[in-house]
Amino acid sequence: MEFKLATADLGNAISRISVTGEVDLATAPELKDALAGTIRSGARGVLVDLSHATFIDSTTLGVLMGAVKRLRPLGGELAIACNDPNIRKIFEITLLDRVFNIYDSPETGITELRQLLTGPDVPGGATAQP
Amino acid sequence: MSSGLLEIGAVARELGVAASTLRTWERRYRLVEPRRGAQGQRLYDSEQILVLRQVLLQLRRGNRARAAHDLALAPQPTGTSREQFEPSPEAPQRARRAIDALLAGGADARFGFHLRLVASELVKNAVLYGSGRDPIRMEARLFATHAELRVQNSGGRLSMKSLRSRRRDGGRGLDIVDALAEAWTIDTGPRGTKITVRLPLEPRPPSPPAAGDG
Repeated sequence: MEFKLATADLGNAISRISVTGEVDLATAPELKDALAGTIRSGARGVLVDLSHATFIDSTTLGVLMGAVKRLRPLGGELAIACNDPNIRKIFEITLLDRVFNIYDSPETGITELRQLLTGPDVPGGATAQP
Repeated sequence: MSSGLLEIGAVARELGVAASTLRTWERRYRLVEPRRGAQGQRLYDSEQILVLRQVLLQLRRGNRARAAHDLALAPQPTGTSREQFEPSPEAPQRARRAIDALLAGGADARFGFHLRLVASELVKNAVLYGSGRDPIRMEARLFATHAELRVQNSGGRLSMKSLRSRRRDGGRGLDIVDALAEAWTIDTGPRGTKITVRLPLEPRPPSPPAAGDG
């Protein structure tokens, strides 16, 4: 499956980046650029949808970590959608499942991001659009 | 012979060695010890003849008799892949495709994913930390119970400490290899680095919780 990215602005400062194919040393820079562009354009809740990703590696983890480090000081959050047990295991064995919010479906991830960014208990909730 | 057992003369003829050689090997190395017939004659079963064939194969490869006996006991791979990749960002993907070809769709999906992942991580390390000039060499061997993967690159000495400290650039690759491998070794020097990983077919049992975990 060929590597592809699709970015969607879902409103209320939430964006989704859908990944198809394999993310590795050759393709991770594209994901990195897409994440950086999305954050620059104002997104504070970013869902990386790996539902159609067939492979990720440690470079991908580094890119996702970089995005988390940029978002959290802005009051934002990164969520990941993934239901492939092999890919989820990569997050687990590197203990990054404790750093990222990982959901089985993109819909659940987006719902959680919306709640997180607009919820009264979360610092930075004001970043959401009125 | 109805039992499927062969006497020493028949085995010697089949293998093309002298019967006295078989007796000497038996006395010295005790690898193949045939049962005895009613008259005390040696009787070899098919498994023992297979082992003797392995000994002869190792001898033909230039090993001395003792080494040939040691190697004959070692498990033989059911498949082998040897590849070379230019040190480019596309090399990890080529390594994964080489593993796909080796497995040819016949392996357990989880094991296949792990083998692809480890190959990809090792080749990625070789791209990032190798000399950037010479090809990266990868050898993958499949056995009945495990796979062995060897990735070699030219370049300066590499230390585990420096590899682990480069997490920002994907140093978590070694965490992945650590978690999936049954055993692995790194052989590094001024001329390059060779990493060998043994990956079990069956998943490793989960690590027990660290002391003090609630």
